Amino acid sequence: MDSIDEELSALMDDEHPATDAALSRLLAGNVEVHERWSRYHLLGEILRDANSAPEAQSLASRVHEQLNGEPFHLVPSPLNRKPNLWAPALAASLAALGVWGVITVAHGPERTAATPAVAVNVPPAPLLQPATRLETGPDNEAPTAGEAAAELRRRLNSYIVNFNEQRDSLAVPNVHPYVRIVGFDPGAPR
Amino acid sequence: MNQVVFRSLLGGWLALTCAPSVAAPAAEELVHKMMGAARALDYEGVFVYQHDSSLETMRVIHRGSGSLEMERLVSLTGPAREVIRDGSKVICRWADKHAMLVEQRQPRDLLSFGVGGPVKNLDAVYQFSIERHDRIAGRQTDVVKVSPHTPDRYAYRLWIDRETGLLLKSVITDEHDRVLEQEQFAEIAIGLTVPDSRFESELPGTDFVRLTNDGEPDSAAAASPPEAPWRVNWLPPGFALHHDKSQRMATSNLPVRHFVYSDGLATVSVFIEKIRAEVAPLKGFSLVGAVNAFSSVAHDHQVTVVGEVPQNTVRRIASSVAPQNSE
Repeated sequence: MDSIDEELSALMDDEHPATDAALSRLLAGNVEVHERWSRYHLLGEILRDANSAPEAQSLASRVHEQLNGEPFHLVPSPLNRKPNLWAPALAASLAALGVWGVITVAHGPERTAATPAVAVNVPPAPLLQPATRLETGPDNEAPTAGEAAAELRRRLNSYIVNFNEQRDSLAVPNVHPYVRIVGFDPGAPR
Repeated sequence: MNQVVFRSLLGGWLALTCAPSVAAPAAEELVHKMMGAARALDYEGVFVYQHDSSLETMRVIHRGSGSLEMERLVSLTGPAREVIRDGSKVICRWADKHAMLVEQRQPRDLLSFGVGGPVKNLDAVYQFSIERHDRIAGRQTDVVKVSPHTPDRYAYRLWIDRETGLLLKSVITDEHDRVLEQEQFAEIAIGLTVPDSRFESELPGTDFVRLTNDGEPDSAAAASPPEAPWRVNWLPPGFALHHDKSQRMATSNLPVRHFVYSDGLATVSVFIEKIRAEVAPLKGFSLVGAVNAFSSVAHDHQVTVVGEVPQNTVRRIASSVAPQNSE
């Protein structure tokens, strides 16, 4: 299905060499592909709608403003990068607009010995990458850096689940309180 | 049985408030109605969640009728993920990570929501207005704008279904009116009969690593002395304490103190737990859509503030957390 995804993405981006013929071939008799094509169109329309709205602004710009405002530090992730969740072509078109995933921006003097912090004083370019970052406290010897980071993310997820439960019981507005759990990479144990 | 009675009353209340009226309802009244509708109705739909540059499509199945509220949320794009909630627990599954998180749910405060509960003093901190009308997922909606009086919380735009009061689209914006995240139904069926089978997991695989808080506390937790009282010394105006208890969480056998504050729309959780020698503490910011978290260490305790409020707000709240007997 990955190759179909890539073809659909190319069609969405008008980069497919034989658009009409390719689309007909992909959609012919395949309900799942047809639904996927419809979904891509819906997503594309919403994305265009959101970005044409006067209030819309890329994450990069927002984070850049924050970085200009106070002394943040970014900590490189000790984990392997997670695989891209979108078909490559679609992801490529989206990647120019922002960042995917949970971003943790640490501040203050604390550092993990295994992952020395890198001061960020210029462009937000490193933020334009899929990232799941967490800073650990003083070094702990037993677990590896990856295990420690996974443990920290599990705890953060647990906090967010419990936050969601309370938030939901107070009936604050949201189409669904758990979209953030399903819509983000949790960094689960391996 | 109380839940059945309550749901019957709520259903009647919703039917009355949803009935056509001559005068257009006020914006605040629409928000009030919306808060009860999401839980009381039966519906199934597909919606899109956008945060930053990412778009995720999900299916939600919800049953509010009957004695037990049931719900399943499953991703349709990207890795297979799922959340199933019933009256006693919430189960999160990430098939791509072979991970499962099971948290026991707190008993719902059914009588407090939607019926004059958390929204009664909202006009002190937010301004409500009906911006326009719109059509979402083929249904007519009123678009309500909710603007905070102060920049320490976010603004909302809510597309509320005229017929049922269900929220069909929401957009959260910051003080500069920039979109932080939005959710929107693409299709929805309301009032259908939802069989039990729709709430069974469809994710492949059984080899999940399971984290849960439903077991017995370990010996270390049992031997722990009672936690000293803590206090949160700063909150934005309008926030009030709704919940304060020590609880177990799936990732820790030690009790975690959990304060919940809300202004009626925005919610902030403050988690305080003793630092364990074998686990490095969290420090710094985390961002999940419009939810910010800030973690710090105070008096050998991990303090984490999670809220649908700006970064500066969670940090300032976290910085104010201290033991009651501290200077």
